[in-house]
Amino acid sequence: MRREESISGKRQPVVLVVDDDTAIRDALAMVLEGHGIQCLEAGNGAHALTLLRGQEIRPDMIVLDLMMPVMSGQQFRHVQLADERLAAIPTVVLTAVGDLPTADLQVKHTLRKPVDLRGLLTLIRQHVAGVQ
Amino acid sequence: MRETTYTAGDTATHAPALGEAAFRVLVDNIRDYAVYMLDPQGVVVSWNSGAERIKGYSADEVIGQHFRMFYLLEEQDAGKPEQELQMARESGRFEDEAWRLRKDGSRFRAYVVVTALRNTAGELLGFAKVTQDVTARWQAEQELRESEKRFRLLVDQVRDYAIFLLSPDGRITTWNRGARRMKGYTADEVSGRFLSLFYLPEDVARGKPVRLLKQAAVEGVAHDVGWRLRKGGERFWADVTITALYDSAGKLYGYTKVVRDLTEQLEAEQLARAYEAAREAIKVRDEFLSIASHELRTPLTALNLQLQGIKLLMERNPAAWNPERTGGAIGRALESAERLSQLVDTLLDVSRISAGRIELKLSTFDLATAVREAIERLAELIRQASCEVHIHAPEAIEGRWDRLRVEQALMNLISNACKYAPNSRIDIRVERDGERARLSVTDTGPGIAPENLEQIFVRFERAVSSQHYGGLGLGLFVTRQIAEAHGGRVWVESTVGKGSTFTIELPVVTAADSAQNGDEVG
Repeated sequence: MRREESISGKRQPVVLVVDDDTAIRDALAMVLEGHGIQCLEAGNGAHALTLLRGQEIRPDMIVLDLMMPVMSGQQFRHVQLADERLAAIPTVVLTAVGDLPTADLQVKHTLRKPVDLRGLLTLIRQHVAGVQ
Repeated sequence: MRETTYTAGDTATHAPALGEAAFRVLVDNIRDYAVYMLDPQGVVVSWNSGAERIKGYSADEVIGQHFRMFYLLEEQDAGKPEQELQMARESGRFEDEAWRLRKDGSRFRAYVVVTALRNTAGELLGFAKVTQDVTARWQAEQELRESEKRFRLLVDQVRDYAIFLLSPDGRITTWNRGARRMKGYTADEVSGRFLSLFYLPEDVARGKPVRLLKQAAVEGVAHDVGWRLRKGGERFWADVTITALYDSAGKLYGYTKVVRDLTEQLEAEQLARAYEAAREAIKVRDEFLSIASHELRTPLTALNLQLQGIKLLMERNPAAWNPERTGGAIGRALESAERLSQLVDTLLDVSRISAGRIELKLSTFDLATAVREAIERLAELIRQASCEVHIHAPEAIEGRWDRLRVEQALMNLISNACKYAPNSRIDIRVERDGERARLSVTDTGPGIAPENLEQIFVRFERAVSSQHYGGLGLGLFVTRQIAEAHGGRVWVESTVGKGSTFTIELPVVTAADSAQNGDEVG
């Protein structure tokens, strides 16, 4: 969690990746950081809430897995939407299960695993300013 | 009827005592029988009130007429009246039941006794005729005969049931169409044969046919469902009811036997069960494929992202890719590939175990040591789950088991504890109780509801929704298979809100034991 100011003086974009699989988080972090995005990582929904509520950092976007132990992506999303400080953060869902009902989750987009990284980056650029 | 038969002797002995006039009054007043006299030629010479009532003629109308007028025309033409008188003349008496005509031309069924009357010198004086109208009885009997005939016809025409009668000693006396069709014998082939003909030799040896007959005789009816034989020796699945038949005096006069062939029904049921089992197997397989593909997708996604990331970043800034960075990124991709490969191995293993092909490779080792090593291998998983593991293994327990399988079973239990009860204390105990060794894993997690305790050991089953927990749902199933292959067992004790204890119990078999018994486990 390196926090840097860009040369222009604008804040570096921050994306929170919530996924229980370490390798997936690592790969996403490697690519996001290669594009000048600071990457926060959480292993499940509860962990993500702790990060969001416990620190000053407010991510520009959340990349959320659904099937996770302790607190699933769906549960996290419901808590997030009910919390006015967090509700507005654009959220993209990654899922391995194609037919899961995600309409009630009011997410920007749903990407199916295996995820196309270029597609994900395009989405991030739409919602987050300053992505290289 | 006999008591109304008057013979010449009677007339001779009683008439003088009673007086001719008194006797005439007596005869005259008999209303239920026509009693009249014929002269030797057959001409009517007396006529009582019964005769008038039955035949419709008054005495005036018939006295002096030949009695042939009472016969049907065709019988008159055939000379029957004369023949009957002839027979009475020769043998003293003639008896018959036949149709007669009334005055109005209608018929009635008559029971007739003609007696020749002779004087003491043997000369023929004439004939006494007593006629009874038995039309009503005849009709009733006729109706009964018709009814029996219809019933026989009905029974005989039944195709789907074998219906037949047995004598009191169990021999076949009737045979219907259904019996012919079901059992393959004609009536001639079975008539008089004992019912054991249709029973399997082993049932006959056990006395089943006799026992069923006795049961029917005692209880009134005997019911049995079982295999019977057709003529060619082919078996059929029969539903048999034997009913005892008793006459009004309570004497056994036979049995009815009704047999239904349920073979097709049985086959249909078996087919339906096989179909259900096949459907269930397909459902289980589909679930497995669905779970397996999900599990495979996770490392596949990681691998895919890692490779995409390497490619993307190398294209973007090739200069940044020194060997160290490249090696690190590729190393992580290889780890994902390794995870995939392990998962595939697990799936193949489960498929082997499911098919009952679990082969144990036995070696002698200390269970306590094996447990410590297995826990070391799971250290990373335990750390991630923030669990605290305490081992209680006071003594070494040596025995012959399949080390890899036992470790696999234990690791399944520990990784379950980490998965379902993260952030909790896990106690692992290794104990010996006589000839049994016990490995138990106790967590302080949410516990399992009593109704789910058995289900969790079944393939692809879990007490909680797979939405929130990864995994194949096979760990406990595999653990149970491993325990049972060793001649042991696995069970769980759990309290909701407090936690669960899973215990694997294995028999302690030493190398000496197995050498002595000359058999290897598995």
